[in-house]
Order: sequence, then structure tokens, then C-alpha cells
Amino acid sequence: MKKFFLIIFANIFLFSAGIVFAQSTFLSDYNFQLDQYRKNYAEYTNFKKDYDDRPTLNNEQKALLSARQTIISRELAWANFYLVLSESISKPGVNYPLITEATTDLTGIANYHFTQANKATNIVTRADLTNFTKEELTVLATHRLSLTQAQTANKLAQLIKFQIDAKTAYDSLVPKLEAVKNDVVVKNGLDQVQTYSAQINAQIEALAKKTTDFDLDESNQSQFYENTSQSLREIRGLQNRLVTVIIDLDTNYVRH
Amino acid sequence: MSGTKVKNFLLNLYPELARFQWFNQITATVIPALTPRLKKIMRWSLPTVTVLFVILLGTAIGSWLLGLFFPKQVTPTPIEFIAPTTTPRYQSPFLPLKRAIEEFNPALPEPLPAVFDDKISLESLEEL
Repeated sequence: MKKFFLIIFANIFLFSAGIVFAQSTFLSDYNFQLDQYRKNYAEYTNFKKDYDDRPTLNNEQKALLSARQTIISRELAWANFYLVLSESISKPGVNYPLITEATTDLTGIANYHFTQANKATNIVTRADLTNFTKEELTVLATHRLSLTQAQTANKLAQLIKFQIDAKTAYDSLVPKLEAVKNDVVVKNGLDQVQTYSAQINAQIEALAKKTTDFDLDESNQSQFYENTSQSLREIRGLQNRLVTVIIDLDTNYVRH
Repeated sequence: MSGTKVKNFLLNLYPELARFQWFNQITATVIPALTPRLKKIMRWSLPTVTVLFVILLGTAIGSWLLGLFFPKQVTPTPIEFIAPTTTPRYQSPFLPLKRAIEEFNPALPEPLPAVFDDKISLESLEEL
């Protein structure tokens, strides 16, 4: 009897632990590391000020250790941030070149930051810290483009998912409209769906191309964000109209 | 016997009654007609009816007097009934998709990473 209860309790525990684990571990880790970073950074700022005011060996050692801890938490926070973004892009389960590329890039960048967090534990001297930061700054510059593309891919993944869902809705609706397919309103509605669909697909494709071709060195990033937001807004507007037509046909012309 | 007693009592109280012919006639007709059974019924029913009459009269007068001192109860006119607009019962299964599209946030950059200091160093940045 005791064993039976023990097994039940163990199952309940494992089940609840599974649920907690499923609530994005990466987001939880990111928030934790961000908290750690902020705490460590405040400490580092104080020690660095002490060191700048009185550059003794003792103060240097304190500032160095604090900087190391800050860097470790920063790298882990960055790594988890990229994993959160990657998870968000993968969530709709869309298979599209820009999206696949973005998730691969993000995983690579996250791994880089995990490696850097490990590497930071080897910082012992002031020169080590300088070299570490020097190397980090050159690599981070290359990550900016991937981040911008991933942010756009994240939005596009959601819009493509809407498009797939709308297509499924349309496919399920067409056979039900067989009896009234010659009705002028129904005919117009189905034509509208086709037109909107073609427009949306073309705009998604254009935006994906623009994002892939985006060159951070030559273009203005904020201008890119602004233009992309505008394109996303337009696609959303078209999708909204498309689904409205589908709902109208379903509500008024299908026998329920 | 008792009928005669009543007649004598009334004459004693109001001697003027003897002057009226109808009084003598009524007493001559009614008194012999009062059988013992009728007398028994009257003995109980007359006070009962009198008491009930007094109570009802008192209540009626009381209600009338109450109406003089308190205003009449005003009953508001019934509010006009507005029939609710009928909504179609059918809810399309594609409505959640429409809602999701409407809630989509096109703003960029999003998600935005926190601000990190990437230049942590104990040496001046210009030296790097």
C-alpha cells in the first residue's frame, strides 16, 4: 500500500515538474541571468570607481573579480535571450527559408555566448579582461544583423502561420459552398479570397527577400525597422480582410 | 314574557313612544311571535352582529381617516420593455483566427534585448 502511494506521489511530482519545465525554461533563465547581471553590474561599477580613484592591487582584484562575474551573467543572459527568440520563431511550426536560417543563426549565437561564459571564468588579469572584451566587441557587431533578421523572421513566422490557417479554413469551406457556388456574392467572395491570398503571399515573399538582402553596413537600421513594420501592418490588414470574407461566406452561405 | 319586559323598559325610558300607534302595533305583533327558539337565536346573534358591525365600521372609518393624513401610494408607470436585438446563433470557427490577426503586433524591434554593457574593462576604451 505504501509503495502504491509513493508511486502516485512520484508521478504527481514528475507531472507538475514537467508542466513547470514546459513554461519556457529559456525565458525564466533569461530573467534570472538578467537579474544577476544587474546586481553584478552595480557592484562592478562601484569597484571600478574605487579602482579608478585608488588603483591599488586590492582594488584591481576586486574590480576584476566583479567584472568577471558580470560578464558571465551577461553572456548567459544573451545566450538565453537568443534562445527565447529562437523558440518564439519555431513555435508556429512554419517551414520557410528565412525562418530556418534565423533559428540556425540564433542557435549558433546562443552557443557562442555559452562558450564565452565559460571562457570568462579564465579571466584572471587585467590583460585577460581587455582581450576578452576586445574580441567580444568584434564578434557582437556581426550578431546585430542576425538579430535584426531574426526579429523580422519572428513576425513573419506568425503571419505565415495565419496564412496557413486561412488556407485550411478556405479548403474546408469550398466543398460546403458547392450548392451556392453560382451565387454572385459567393462567387465574388471566393474570387476575393484568391486575390487577397495572392497579394499576401507576394508581400510576404518580398519582405522575406528584403530581410535576407538587408545589409546593416549600408542601410539604416531604424529605417529598416520602420519600413518592415509598415509592410507587416499591410500584410495584417490584407489577412484581416481575407478572413473576414471567409467568415462571411461561412456564416451566411453555408447551411449549418 | 321577556318581550313585555323589553316593551316596558323602552316605555319607561322613552314614555313618548306610547303616543305612536305603530309602536303599539309592532309590540303587539312581534312580542307574541317570539318563540323560545327565536329568542335563543336572537340572544346570541344580535350581540355578535352588533360587535362585527362595530368592528367593520371602525375599520372603514379608520381607513378613511388614514387616507386623509398619508399621501396616496404612487405606482410608477411600467418601464417600456425593449426587446433585445437578436444575434445570429451561429459562431464561425474561424473567428479566433480573425482575433489572432487583429491582435498581431507589427511593431519592430521586438523582442528587444535588455541593455548590456559590452565594454567591461579596467582600461580606458580609447586604449583598446
